[in-house]
Amino acid sequence: MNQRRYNEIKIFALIGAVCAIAAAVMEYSPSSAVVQWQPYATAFQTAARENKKVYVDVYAEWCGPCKLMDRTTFANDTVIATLQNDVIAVRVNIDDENIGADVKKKFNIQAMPTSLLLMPDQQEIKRNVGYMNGTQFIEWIADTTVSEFSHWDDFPEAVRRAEAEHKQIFIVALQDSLIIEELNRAFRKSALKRLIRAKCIPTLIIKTNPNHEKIIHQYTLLPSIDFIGYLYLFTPSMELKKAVPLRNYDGFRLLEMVQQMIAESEKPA
Amino acid sequence: MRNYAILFPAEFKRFWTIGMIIFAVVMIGLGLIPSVVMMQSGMVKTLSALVSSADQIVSFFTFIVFSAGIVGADIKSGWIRTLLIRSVTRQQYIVTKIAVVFAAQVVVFVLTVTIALVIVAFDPAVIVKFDLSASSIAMALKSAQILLMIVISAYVSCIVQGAFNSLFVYGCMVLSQMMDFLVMRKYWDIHWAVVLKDYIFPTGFEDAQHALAANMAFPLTEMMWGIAALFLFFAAALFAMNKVVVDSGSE
Repeated sequence: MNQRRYNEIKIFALIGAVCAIAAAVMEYSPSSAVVQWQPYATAFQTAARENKKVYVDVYAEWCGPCKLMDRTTFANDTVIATLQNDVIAVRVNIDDENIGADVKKKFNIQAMPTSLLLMPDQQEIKRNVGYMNGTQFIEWIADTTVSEFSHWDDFPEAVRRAEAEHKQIFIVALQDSLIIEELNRAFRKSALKRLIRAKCIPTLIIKTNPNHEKIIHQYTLLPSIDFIGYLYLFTPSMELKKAVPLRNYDGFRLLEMVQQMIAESEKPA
Repeated sequence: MRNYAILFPAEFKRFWTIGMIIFAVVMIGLGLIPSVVMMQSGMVKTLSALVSSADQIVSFFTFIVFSAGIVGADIKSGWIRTLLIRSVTRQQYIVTKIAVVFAAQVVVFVLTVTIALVIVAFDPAVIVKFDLSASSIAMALKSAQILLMIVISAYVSCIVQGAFNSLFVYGCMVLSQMMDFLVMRKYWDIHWAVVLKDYIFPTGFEDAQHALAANMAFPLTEMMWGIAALFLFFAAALFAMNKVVVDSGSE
């Protein structure tokens, strides 16, 4: 009886050991594929020609999480296939005197690794700062549905509509797109969405977008880098009514802030 | 098989004491809040996403309470002795105990998801896509990870007396997450730390579930790690069960 019991245990242990060995072999056998990084100089032209987005991995030789991403994330077959087929993949060493310095300044890079997803015209879609494993990376790169903001007008169109509909212009101005996903979730909340749509014409300005540089300069937006962004209310003739630095970006706080901004801007002078 | 057919319903009924039923109802209530909020805020749009995210907070408490002293409590109370003198083998006993705790966890989870879906059905603004194949796979992998944790807990319970087994298992999970945090930020170039981070607690089925949710290639490696851990810990639990001293001369 006892021998039968132990035989069963041995069978279970054997199956477990075989599976563990098979898993170890699969895990540690080197992948034949590697990411083919494109040169930064021609990446945006290639992206425009092939109608793809540009993924930029900003790394440094001294950055630990960057090396860990090299060993794990960028060695993953699905990640490699995604970077080869769905985007133009570029990597930039932040310590490179030419491209690195340029990217650091243009995209306000503050920590490594920074992952940027850009349009062919270098407009920033989203960014992530820090390590992502294969699963997190695929989730991050696939989810480009920043849906609420995609319904917002570009700045010139917002100004035109505000004049035509006699509404105020509501500007969300951000230093970069780091918090864009959280903000998108907040602005999707029905009460906030209704309030903004009823009272104003909303538009989004991101400092790192080349197209927005002139607007930021012209209307002196984002005066301090201490805040990740600002909320503005302008009249249709672009007269500043209210400016509030962005500290919290959860839906309820934002609703409160926007309600207060609109109420104060509607008070007679 | 006949013994299992008698033993499982009896143990399942014995498991649901008044205190356990109240606890499960409270946990279902607590689990409903984040599930409903996530669906209403649009963070969760599919059944598979709900299956993956529901029960995240409460499963911590249900696992600790449901599997606490899974074997140890019966040794202490003498119930194991009563069973083993009635032609129930040690293997049948531990398999039944694992199955009962697993079934209880699944009942709480399924009720949480079902009630959350019924609640949001009254809100026309919330649309949840019923992706049945993806949610079945997510459910199967989630259940497999829960089963693995219960098997580990049962193994520890054969060695550690009392109800500290589930706390010990959860401690290992927390330690694994702490290692993950430290390796990512500080010890990324220490090879053994990177290896230890991966092996301190088996999460093969959970990793496979995340990989499938992210539309990655079929996570065969993760699944194999999960199956390996399940079989090895099950063998260890059976072995430890055979070494448990119930009462000399009673079998």
